[in-house]
Formats: sequence, C-alpha cells, structure tokens
Amino acid sequence: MIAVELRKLVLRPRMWVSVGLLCLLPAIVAVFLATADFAPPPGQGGAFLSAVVNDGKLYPAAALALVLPLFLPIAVAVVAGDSIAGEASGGTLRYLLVRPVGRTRLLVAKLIAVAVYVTAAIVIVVLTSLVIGVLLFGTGGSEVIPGIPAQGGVVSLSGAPLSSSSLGLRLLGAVGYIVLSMLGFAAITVFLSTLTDSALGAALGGLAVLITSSVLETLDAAAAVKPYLPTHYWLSWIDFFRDPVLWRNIDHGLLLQAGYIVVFFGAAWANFATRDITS
Amino acid sequence: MSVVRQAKRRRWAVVAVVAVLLVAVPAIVAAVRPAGQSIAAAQLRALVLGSETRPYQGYAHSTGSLALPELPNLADVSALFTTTTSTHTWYAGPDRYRVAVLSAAGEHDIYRLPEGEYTWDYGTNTLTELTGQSTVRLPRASDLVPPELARWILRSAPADPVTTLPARRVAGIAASGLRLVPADPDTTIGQADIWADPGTGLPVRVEVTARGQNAPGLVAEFEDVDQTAPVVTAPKPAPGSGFTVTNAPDISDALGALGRVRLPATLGGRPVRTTNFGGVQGAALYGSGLATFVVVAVPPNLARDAADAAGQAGGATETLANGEGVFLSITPLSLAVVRPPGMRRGFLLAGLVGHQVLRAAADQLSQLRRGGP
Repeated sequence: MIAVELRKLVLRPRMWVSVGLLCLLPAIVAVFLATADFAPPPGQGGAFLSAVVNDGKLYPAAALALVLPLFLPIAVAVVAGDSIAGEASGGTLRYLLVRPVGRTRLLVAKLIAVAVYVTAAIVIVVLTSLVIGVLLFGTGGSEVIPGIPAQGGVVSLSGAPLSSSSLGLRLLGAVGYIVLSMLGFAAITVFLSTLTDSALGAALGGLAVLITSSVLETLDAAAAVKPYLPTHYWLSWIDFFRDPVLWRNIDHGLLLQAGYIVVFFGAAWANFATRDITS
Repeated sequence: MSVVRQAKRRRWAVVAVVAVLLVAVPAIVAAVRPAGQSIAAAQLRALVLGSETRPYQGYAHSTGSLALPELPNLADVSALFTTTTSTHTWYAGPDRYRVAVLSAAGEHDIYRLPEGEYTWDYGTNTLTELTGQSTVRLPRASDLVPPELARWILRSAPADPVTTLPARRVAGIAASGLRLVPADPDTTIGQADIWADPGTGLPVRVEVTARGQNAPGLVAEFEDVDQTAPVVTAPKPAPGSGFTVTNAPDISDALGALGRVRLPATLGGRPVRTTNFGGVQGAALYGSGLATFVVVAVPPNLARDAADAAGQAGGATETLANGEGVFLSITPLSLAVVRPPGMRRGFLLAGLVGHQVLRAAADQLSQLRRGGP
C-alpha cells in the first residue's frame, strides 16, 4: 500500500514541478545576491542572507529561511489536500477502497507519502542551494586570525566558528525539525481532505489555517493561545545555529507538532474510517 | 443507532479525549504542583537584594507596551520598551555573565567579564571589545532580565513600603511575590510586582504598572530558568567575522551631550542625585527613589529632531519662561525637550515623574545662562 502511494507520488509530474519551484526561489535570490555582491543590511532580508556572501556553505540555511514561511507550506497544502480529496474528485477513491485494505491503512499510507514528499522536497532544496551557494559565493575561510584554528568561514548566530561537521549536524537537525513542522501542518490538511471531495478546497482550507495562525501570531491580545498555534515554533529551527543550541523552543515545537499530528491524524481517521464514499 | 454510527461516535470520542488531554496538560501540571504560600514581603526584598551573586541561566521575555516615539539615536532603547525582547542569560556573577538577545534573523550578545566587556552582533558580523568603563550607560536588553530589573527597582526605592502578593509558579519555581508602591506622589510608577524564588531570592517575574493604569506596561519573566553556575568565557574572534576594539559608549556618544554645560544643583525642586551622568558634565540625574529624571544638554539640531519626533507622537508644545518646550507623557515615562531661543544647546528630559515636575525643571532650564547657573 505504502509502496503504491510512493510510486504514484514519484510518477506525478506536479510533484517534481512543485519541488522545482521550491528550488527556484533560493536560486533566484542567490543570483541576485551574487551579482549585486553585497548582503542585505543588518536586520533586513531573510535569516543568514547577510552571512552567505562570505560563505556559500551556509546558503542551505538561508534557502530554508526563504521557503519555509510560505512556499513550502503551499506545496505541502497542495499535496496533502490532494491525498484523499484528489482521489474522491478523480473518482478513484471507491476503487482504492474495494481492494482488501483497511481505510486506516490507506490513510497511513497517504500520510507517509506526504511525509516522504516533505522530506524529499526539503532535502532537494538543501542540496541544490548548497551547490548554488558554493558555486556563487565560495566556501570562505581564507582569513586566518592568529591563535584561532582555521575552521572555515561559517560562523554561528552567536559568533562562534562552526566546523563543517558541526554545520552538517545542525543542518540535519534543522531539516528534521522542519519536516516535523510541515507534517503537523500536513496532518491538518489531510484531515480537511477527508471532509471534502475538492482537493483545491482542502488545500485552501489548510492555507486558511496557516494565514489565521500567522495573523494571530502578530496579535498581542492572542498571547494566551500563541504557544498552541501551529506556526508558533516554525522558525525555531534557526536555534540550531546558535551556540550553544537553544533547545527550549525546539523541544516545545517538536511537542506541539507531535500533538497536531496525533489530534488531526486521529480526526482524519475518525472521519474517514466511517465516511460514506460516494465518489 | 446503526453500528457504523456507533463506531463513528466512538472514534470521535477517542480523538476528543486525546485533544482535551493534550490541551489540558499545562493546567494539570499546574494543579499537581501548586505555588504554595508567599514568604513575608520584607524578607523577600532582602533576599532579592542579596541575590546578586546567585548564578543562573535561563530564557526570558520582556514585553514593553509603551507608545514611545522613535527618538533620534535612541531607536534601540525605545524598542526595549515598545516590543517583546527574548533573551538567554548565562549569569555566573555580577562581573561574569553573557546575555544573548535573540531574534528570528540573528543574535546580539553582551559579554561581561572581569577582564572587560564584549559585544557580538550577527547582523554586522562583528565582535567588539569595549575598553574603559562608562559610569552610566543607556538601558539595554540585559537590564530587563527579571533579576536585573527587580534588583534595580528595589535598590532605587529602599524605603518604599512593600506588601506580600500571592505566590505563583513561574518557570517551574513556586515564587513568592511582593508589591512595591512608591511613596513619592510625583513618580509615575504606580506599583512594581516582583516574584522571586523564596529559597535563593532569584527574581523570576517583574511587572511594572504606571500610576492610574490597570495593566502593567512592562513585564519581564523567565520561561525557563536553571539556578546552576554557567561557564562564561571571553568570545574569540571567528575567521570570516570582524573584530574591533572601541571605547565604552556612554550617553554622550548617543546624545551628543555638551560637556561644557553645568547643570543646576536642584531642578523642579529635586536635588541632583548624580552629576556628570554618563561621565559628562552636560548630563545629570535628579530626584530620589523611583521619582527620578535625567537631564541631558544636547546640540540644537538634536533637540529639534527630538522635538519633532515628540510632536509627531502626540507631544504638546508649551510656552516656558524663556522659549518653548515639547512635553510628552507615555505613562509611566515623561519626556520633555527644551529649546531656549538663541542658545547653542537644547535639553532633553526623561524620567519617571509627573508632568508638573518636568515642567518646573524645563522652566528653570530655559532660563539657564550660558556657562551654567
């Protein structure tokens, strides 16, 4: 079942188009930065953009900061919204369910396919931006300060030099964190996908949740609910690049997303397992 | 009821129970671990004042909700009192600590060590070593960490009465509370509420409320705190980042204070508390307790910019004994800009005192002769 869903995912051109578009934005920004040859002023532009000009190895982090707030959630909403509602609107859901597999198993397979998509999309964005960053900005590290071992030009947000292995581990942690954050959002959209036969409607519903959460995030009056908003800890992946790593918000973010996955996947299961399939 | 419908209800009930349990976890934890009783307010004040050597490391927020205008050269300072600032502090002692001001796009660090002070700014990719000492400096994020803020308030008003507040759990600590109500009727501070660990005296939450207001205008609170000694060492310049050595900045750098101006010994009926405030003659601190205000002599162009900014923020222009002044009250802060005609200087006044005190001080300053009183 899972293999079937993964095969369908890989064979869908729209999946590759969406991943390509995700890679395109950081590539465009990198070209502009490289040709202009100056970084955004301090405090302006995305995270890490002011530092990547010195060392392209940090560009994957800058690319994640660029795609995370909007582009990645849109791609996830489209794929997750299509998971059940897409089958229903295409008239294939009833044929899927006449096979000797339970609905819960089908739902799990769909969620795993979305998880694989999210992971693959983020990993591809990281790899392509690493190549683009190194090609356009170089790897830095040419400056040598007496008494300081040469460790490359990547500096943590706290000013401490980062070795290549440390940077790799932190990037890996950031990727894992973002994958889980996106899965929490995907669980909400998969649930919406079980409520409707319109994939577009489910995706727009997911985006409505995203926008509502982002608006409430800026509202002081909503302080009491902020820690529970799905987007509240999304940007905490940046804490992997502090020295020492600031685990507090990362831990809270992981717990929150786990909660969203459990509750909304549970809601999707409760709704879909006994739903009348008419299309 | 059909079997399918029953199954559906059962499934939704499971989901609802799980969701309610997850949302209720913080409330359940709070119920299981009550805050207990507060210790006596006077005892807590003594503990807090003696907690300077207590080490801690923790993550805190300070939220200011004052509608301050963007004053020239003071944007960073006004941001502290108008937005939420997130900090992570490693405090080994009064002369060995690090405060990281965290933002979504970077970090600004302040290192205080026996051998000197350093700042790291990710935005400019520069580590700066500060040499020399400034006797007084502008407020910065490290001053709004709960222990620093609480100790500053209690030190500023040692004789003002304190009362006990109900205990509350803050960052996992059953904290005792006290309320300080300034005795001086001229201060704009209505009350300061402080919660601290009754065992060590470490302040974990501070609320400052302006006189006549119900909601606090400044709240500083730990989200997480660990009362163990951290290791704080001097930062090392990293390859690829800048490193500079500079003199310790003081208020005169930010405001361009005029060193030749001698300020009166008493202003608005308030005696001077600190002359040569920030190490320059053109600045002084007046008043006692929390009812204090700062006066800084500034060049006329800076006074004009400040007056414009204050006017745009709703400040009122008033005629003084000689010339005009712009007055702005953003409780609990009062601001005034004095621009005596024909003089090569103006004055900025800011403090936690009412309008009438600043107005009397501004009248006096407007008549100040060249060269001092």
